[in-house]
Amino acid sequence: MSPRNADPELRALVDAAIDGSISDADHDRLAELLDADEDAREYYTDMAQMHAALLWEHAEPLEQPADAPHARVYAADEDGAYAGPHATTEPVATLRPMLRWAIAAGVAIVAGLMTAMLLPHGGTHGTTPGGAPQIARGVNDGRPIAVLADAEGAVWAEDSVVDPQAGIGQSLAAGTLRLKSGAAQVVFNNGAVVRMSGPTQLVMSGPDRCRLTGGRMVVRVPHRAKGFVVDAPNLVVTDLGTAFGVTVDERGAAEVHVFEGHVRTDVIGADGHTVRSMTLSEDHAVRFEGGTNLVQRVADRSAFGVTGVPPHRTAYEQTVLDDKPLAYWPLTDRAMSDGTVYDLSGHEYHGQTRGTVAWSRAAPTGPRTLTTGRDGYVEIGREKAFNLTNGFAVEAWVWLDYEMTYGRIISADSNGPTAGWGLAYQGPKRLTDDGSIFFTTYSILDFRFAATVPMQKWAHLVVVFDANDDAHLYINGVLKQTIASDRPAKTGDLNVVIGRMSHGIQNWYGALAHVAVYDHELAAERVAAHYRTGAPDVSGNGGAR
Amino acid sequence: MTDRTNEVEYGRLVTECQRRLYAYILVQVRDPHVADDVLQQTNTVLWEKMDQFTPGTNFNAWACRIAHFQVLAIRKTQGRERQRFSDTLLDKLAATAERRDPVFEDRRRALLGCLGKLSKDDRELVSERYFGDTRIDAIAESTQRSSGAIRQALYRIRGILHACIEQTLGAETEAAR
Repeated sequence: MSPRNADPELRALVDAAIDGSISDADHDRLAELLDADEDAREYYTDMAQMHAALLWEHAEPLEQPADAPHARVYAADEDGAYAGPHATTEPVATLRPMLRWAIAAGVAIVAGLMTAMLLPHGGTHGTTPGGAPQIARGVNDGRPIAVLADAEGAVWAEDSVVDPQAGIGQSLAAGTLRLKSGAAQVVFNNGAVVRMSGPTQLVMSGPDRCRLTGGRMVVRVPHRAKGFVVDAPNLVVTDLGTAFGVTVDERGAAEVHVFEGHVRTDVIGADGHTVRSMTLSEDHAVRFEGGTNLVQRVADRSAFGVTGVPPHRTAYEQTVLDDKPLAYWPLTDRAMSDGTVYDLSGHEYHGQTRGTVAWSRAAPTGPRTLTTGRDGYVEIGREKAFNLTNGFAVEAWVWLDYEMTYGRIISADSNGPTAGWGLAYQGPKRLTDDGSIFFTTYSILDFRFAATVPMQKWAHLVVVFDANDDAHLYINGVLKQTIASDRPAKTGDLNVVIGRMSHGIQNWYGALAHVAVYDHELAAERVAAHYRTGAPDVSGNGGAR
Repeated sequence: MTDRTNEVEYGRLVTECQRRLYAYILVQVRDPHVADDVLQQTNTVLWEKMDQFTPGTNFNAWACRIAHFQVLAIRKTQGRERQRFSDTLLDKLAATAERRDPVFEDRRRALLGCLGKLSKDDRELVSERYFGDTRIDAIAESTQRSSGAIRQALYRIRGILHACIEQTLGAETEAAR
C-alpha cells in the first residue's frame, strides 16, 4: 500500500499518531481501521518504522560539541544519497578536538552504514532463504572497524595496528593498540568513542567490542548505540547507554567507574560462565579482587580526566542541595544501584528497596522513578537524626495511581504510631469527598489538610512544621493551608521508611520522587523555587528529573 | 551457547539487531522514550536468555518475541493512558511488524537515498524534527511558523519519503527480473 492509494483518512490518522498529536476520537478510529484491515496495519507499520529509522539515524551523541549545529549540516553525497546528520566537508585537521571527535564519530557511523549497505541484510551476517542467520566467524578480516580520531604525543609500539605515518583519520582493522605514551582517541564503527592514555594495551576485537589488557580507558557510547562491550581480566563490562572508565593494573586487577548512565559488570569464572552480575549506575565503581568479590566505591572522575560530562547534579538536585537537607533521596534510577537508594545530602542515609518496586516513567517524558505498590517500599532504617520535634520540613514529588485508602509518602515512626512524624495521603471516605494530604505527629495530632493532589499527575508537596508547632502545606509551590497546634512531635526509637509505615501498613500505590527531609524550616520562596526548578521537566504537569 | 566465542557472536547479533528492534518496538508503543526503555529492558533479557538461544535459528524472530513481551510488560507498569491500543491489536501489529522485518533493511537503505533527494528546506525540517526528537511546537517557535504549518509540512514530507521508498524498491525489483 503506498500513500497514493492509501485511504486519505488512514494516512492522516497514522501521521497524527506517530507524531503524538492524535485526538482521543481519532485514536479510536485509527484502532478500528487497523484492527479490521491487514493492509492498513502494513501501511501503519511501514510509516512507524520509517519514523523509527529517522529517529535512530538522528540520535545525538552523548556529548555535544559547543558548536553542534555546525556539525548537523545535512549533506548528500555525489549520488544524492543521504550522508548523515553529522556529515561535514570541512577539513578535520583545522577543527578543534571536540568537533573533530564529533565528526570522526559521524564518519565512523556513516562508514558502518556504508558497510551495512554493501553487505547482505544485517551487516556482518547474512540471511539464508530460510531466515536463519549466518554468523560471520572471524572479526579480523582486515575490514575497518574503527577510526583513529585524535592523538596527542602518541607513541605506538610496533605491533600496533596504527600506521604512525598515516596520522589522524586512518581506518583501523581489528587488532592490538599498544600505546606506550601520550593519548589517543579511537571511534569504533558502532559510534563508541574510546579515549586512552599511555601506557595502555587494548585489543580491538570487533566494531562493538574490545579487550583491555592493561592501562586505562574511557568509553563514551552515543545514545541508542548501546551494547558496547569491554572485556577485562575476569570481567565483561557491557554498556547500557553510558560513559564509563576501565583500568587494569600491572597485577591484572580491573576497576570499572561509571560517569553517566549504567553498565552491567559480569564476573566470569574459570569455566567461562558468568558467576556474578552487577548493574552499576552513575558515580559508582567496582574493583574486582578475585573470586566473585566486587568491592563498591565512588567513581573517580579525576583519575580518568573526565571533565566534559554533563553536570554531576541536575538543576533540581542542586536546588534541593542548596537548602542543605538532612537527607535527600532522588529515587530516580540514576540515584540507585543494586537496590541501594542513595541519599545525596552527604549524610549517607542510604536506603534499600524492599518488596516489589519498579523504576518506571509515570509521565511519558518524565523521569524514571520509584514506583511502589502492594508490598514495595524503601527502608532507610533507625537513624537518630530523624528524631525531629519541630522546626523541620518534609518534601516530595508524588504521583497517585488511584485513590488508595491510606498511602504513606514517608514515615519516621516507632514501628507503629506512637512517636515520630509522617506525611501521607488519605483517600475519600465517601464517593462525594475528595482525598486529603495529612501530616502526622504520631500519638499527638493528625494535621488533615483540606487540599489534595490530582490523580495520575505529578504534584510537589512540602510540609513545614515550624518552631511554633504549626504545620504549613504547600502544593506545587503555593501555600495551601496552615493548621496550628501547640505540641511538638514525640521522640522515640524511630524507623524511617519511604512508601509505607515501618510496621508494614499504608502502602503507597504510585510513584514517588525527590523525597527530602530538612532539619530546619524551608522558607516559602525556597519552596516556590524548588517547584519552579522541577516542574518544567515533566511535560507541563510537574515533576523533576 | 555457553563458551566465550559464542558469547562474542551472540553479542554481535544483539548489537546488529538494535536498529530493527527499536523500529519493531516503536510500532507498538509509539512514544520514543518508552521505546528506549523497552529496548533497554529487551537487551537485558536477551543477555539473560543467551543460553536459551540456539545458534543457527532465526535470532531476529526470537528477539522480536522477547521485545513484544517487554512491550506488554511495560504497559502494565504505566498509568492507564487513554490512548493505547488493545492487547489484541498490539498482537496483530507485532505480527505485521515481524512479517515486514525481512524488508526493513531494504526500506531503511532506500530511506537514506530518499532523504538525499529532498529539497534543502525539507531536509532542514526533517533535521529539526528528528535531531533530538524535537517537539513540533518547539520547532514552530524557533522557526516562527504555526504548529499546524509544521505538522502539515512533515505530513507532506513523510508522504514524499514513503512514495520514494516504494518507488526505489519497485525499481530494484524490476531491475532484478
